[in-house]
Amino acid sequence: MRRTWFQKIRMILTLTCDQSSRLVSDSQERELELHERIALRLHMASCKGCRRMRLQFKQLHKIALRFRKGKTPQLAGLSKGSRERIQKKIEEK
Amino acid sequence: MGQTYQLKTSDPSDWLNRHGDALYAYALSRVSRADLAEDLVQDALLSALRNADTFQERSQERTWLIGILRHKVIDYFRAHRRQTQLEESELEKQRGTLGLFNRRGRWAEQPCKWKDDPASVYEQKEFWETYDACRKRLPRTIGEAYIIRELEGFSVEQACKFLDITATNLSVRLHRARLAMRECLEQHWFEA
Repeated sequence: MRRTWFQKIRMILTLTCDQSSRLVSDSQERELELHERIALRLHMASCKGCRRMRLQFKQLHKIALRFRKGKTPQLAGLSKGSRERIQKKIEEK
Repeated sequence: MGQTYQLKTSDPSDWLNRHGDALYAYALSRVSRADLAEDLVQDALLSALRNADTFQERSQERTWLIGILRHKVIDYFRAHRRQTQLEESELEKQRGTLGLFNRRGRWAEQPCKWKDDPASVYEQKEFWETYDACRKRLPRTIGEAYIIRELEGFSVEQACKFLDITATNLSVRLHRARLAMRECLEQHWFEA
C-alpha cells in the first residue's frame, strides 16, 4: 500500500499494539517496508506484551509447520463401523 | 532389500488397514466433521485404487495416499468456500469485538509468558487436541485462510487465488486467525 511521508512518520510515532501485531503477522506473508520495520522496532523496545506476541506468533508458525508435516502423535482413528463401510465400498469396485 | 520387496507386493486392499487411521486423522484435522472425513478417506482410497498403476515404487505409500487425500480435501474446500467476500471493514469490526485490544489499540490483557517451551509439548497428544480444538473455533472464513496458508502451506499468491480474495484481505484474516489461536492456546494450554 502506498503511503505518504506524513502517514509513514505518523505510523512510526503512533504504532499501537493492534497495529504491531498486524505487522508481525504480515511479516510472515511479505517483506515489511522500511518505515514499518522502524515503527515495529521502536514499539517493541517499549512493549513487553508485543515482544511476547512476536515470539508466540513464531512459535505458532512452528507448531503449524509440524502439524502440516504430520509430525504429531496419532490423533484420531477410524471407528470399526467406518472401516467396514469403506471396506465394503472398496470391494464393490 | 526387505522394504523394497514389501512395497512391490503392496496389496491395495491392505491400504485401508495400514493407512486408514493416518488418512482419517489427516482429513479430520482439516474438515472437522467425522462423517465428512470418512467420505474423503473413502474417495481418496477409491481413486488410489483406480490409479494404482501410477504409484511409484520409490515413493512412500503413505505419502502418496496422503497426497491424493490432500487433493480431495482441497476440492472439498473449493466447492464449499463461501462465495461472498467479507468486506475488510466488516472484518475489522469483528476483530474489535474480540476485545483483545482496547479503544486505544493497546492489549486489553497483555500476553503472558508461556509456561512450556512449545518444543516440549510436541509429543503430547493433549496438546495437539487443544490446538485442533482452537482451530475449530475460528470463524469459518478466518479458519479457511488459516488452514490454506498455514496447514496446507499455500503461497500467498496461491492462497489469494484459491480463496478469491485480495492479498490485503488475506492478511487481515490471517492476522485475526493468529491472534485468536494465540489467545486460545494461551488460555487452554500455556497459561502458567
